[in-house]
Amino acid sequence: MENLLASTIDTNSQPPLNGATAATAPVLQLTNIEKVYQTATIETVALNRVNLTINRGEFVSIMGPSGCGKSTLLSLMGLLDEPTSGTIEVDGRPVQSYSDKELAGLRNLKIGFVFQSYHLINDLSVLDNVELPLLYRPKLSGRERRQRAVAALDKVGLSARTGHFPSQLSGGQRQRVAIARALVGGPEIILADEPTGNLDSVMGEEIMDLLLGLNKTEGVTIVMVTHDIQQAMKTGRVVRFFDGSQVG
Amino acid sequence: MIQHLITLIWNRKRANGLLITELFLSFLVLFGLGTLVAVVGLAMRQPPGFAYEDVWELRLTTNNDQLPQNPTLRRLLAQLRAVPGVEGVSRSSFSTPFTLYNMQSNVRAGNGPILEGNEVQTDDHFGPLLRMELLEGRWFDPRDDASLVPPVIINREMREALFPNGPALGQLVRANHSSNPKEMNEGRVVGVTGSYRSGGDLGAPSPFIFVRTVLPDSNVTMFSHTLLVRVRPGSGAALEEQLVKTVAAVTKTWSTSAISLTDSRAAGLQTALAPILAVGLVCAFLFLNVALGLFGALWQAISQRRAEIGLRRAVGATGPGISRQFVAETLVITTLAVGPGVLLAAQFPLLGAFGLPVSVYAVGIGLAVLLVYAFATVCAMQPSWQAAGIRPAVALREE
Repeated sequence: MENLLASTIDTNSQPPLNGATAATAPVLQLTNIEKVYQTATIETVALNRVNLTINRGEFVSIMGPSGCGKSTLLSLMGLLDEPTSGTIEVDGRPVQSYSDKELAGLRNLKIGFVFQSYHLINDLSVLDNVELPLLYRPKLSGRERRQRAVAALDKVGLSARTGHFPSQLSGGQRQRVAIARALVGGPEIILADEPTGNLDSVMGEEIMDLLLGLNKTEGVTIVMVTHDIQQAMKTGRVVRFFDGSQVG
Repeated sequence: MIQHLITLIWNRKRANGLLITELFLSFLVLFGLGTLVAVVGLAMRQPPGFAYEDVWELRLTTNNDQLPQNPTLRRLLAQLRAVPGVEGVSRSSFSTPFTLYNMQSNVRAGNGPILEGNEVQTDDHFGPLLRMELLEGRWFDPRDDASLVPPVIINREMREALFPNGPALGQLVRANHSSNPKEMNEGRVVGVTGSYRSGGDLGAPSPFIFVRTVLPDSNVTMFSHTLLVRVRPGSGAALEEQLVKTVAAVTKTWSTSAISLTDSRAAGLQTALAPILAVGLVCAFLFLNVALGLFGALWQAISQRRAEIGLRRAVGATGPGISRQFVAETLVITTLAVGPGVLLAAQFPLLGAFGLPVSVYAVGIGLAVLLVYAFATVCAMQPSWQAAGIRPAVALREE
């Protein structure tokens, strides 16, 4: 019963957090991606024939006006949604044929998410929130989960706040908790959807520095959606979107 | 993961409090209903203590017949016993099996306490005709004609109450419809029968005393007489018609109604079950309301947690895993409600409430536990499946 819900992951293997792997190997490849939202009367093209390669160790910013398909693209990269057409490859393997269980396993092992609105569970402590991805790894003991969660919180400078609840933290601290949660599973990729969008400029800078540090020191591949050109310019590459199409 | 769920539920105790209260109250309602079902089931499994099949009851109304009735009754008994297919005939007071009539009697042994029981005034044929089990002694017979003290027969329950430790046979008892000891008639116990549940399938075994009556030559007029007739197995309406015709031919002015004890039992059971069914329906209605409430509450709780569902999917939960989580959460909440419920319900057998056996309460508790868990699981299923079907990208955008 310990791992009642953790049946999705059947491996405990984790990729290294350092940048020792081949820096130019594509970790994510999107080819001719289209995403169309269809209702009874309206058909909305969110993404139109997008081709994008994210290499291992890169820090890529995705920019564009609201409604241009940035978040949709990030959902597709994070395997949270399926494209209407086109292929997504993770580590050179197309994921279209993957089952729900296999996709959940990939998300758990390879991808960490950071959201604009943090998506912390308010009824769980900081430590419990950070532990969450590890609950879906049945082979990890409770003690090991706890140790990893504390280590992840340490990385973001919040090891003194383990017993706090999200409502007791500032926006910047909440985002740090969300980053710790994204890091705790040792992912190869972090997908950040406007991680500084709800923060003031000082806190935004702190979070940005944290992400840059993770990319530089630990080699984590980061794809970040942002509206802030200054932050985007600090990243390795900027990809621009307009009306669902890649324009730069 | 169970620890995680308990942490989550504990931290949401205010939101879960209403659900727990609702489930606790449902448990209590179901415990009451389950105990009632157990009482009914237990009663229905107990034998009545007599053989009612192939026995007809003839209720004779004398219609103010002022002629001497006993000679007529003697002729009638002889004529009925001569009818082909009739195996035996007995006179009885109106309190025959499965009727709602009872003749209450106060019975006392020596200077002991007065015991409230039921009395049946009958003849030498009643016990053998109903094939009643005799535990001690004998049924009435012509030897009793010479007795200076009238013979009486008591059943198991009355024996246990009057003579819990000593012998019953040969003991003197006094019985009458008055509580004044001076007005009580004396009788000597000549036999002890097994339990006699004349009240029908749901009637509890109660103390009975059978008092022997003979047909005196004096001219006593009565409003009615009751006869029990045992017929050959398989006898049908033709014999019933013949019995009624025989009564009409002998008595001239009396009227007769006939009913088989089997039909009487069925009618009695229907009457007894009616209020129980009514209570059951009320409980079912209450339970339906609780079910709808719980279903709605779970639905709303899950709807409010769509962002959390999206997050869990993003960090590695599968759709079925989400579904299992919500069902498991509901079951943990149910346990928090059922635990105190069981503790409360267990006080009934511990305190010996209502004099019911422990097994009845055990069945009541077992049924309630089973039904509450089944009901909570069913109510959690649909919202959980719904949660499992939410696309993570959509759920994450909905906060």
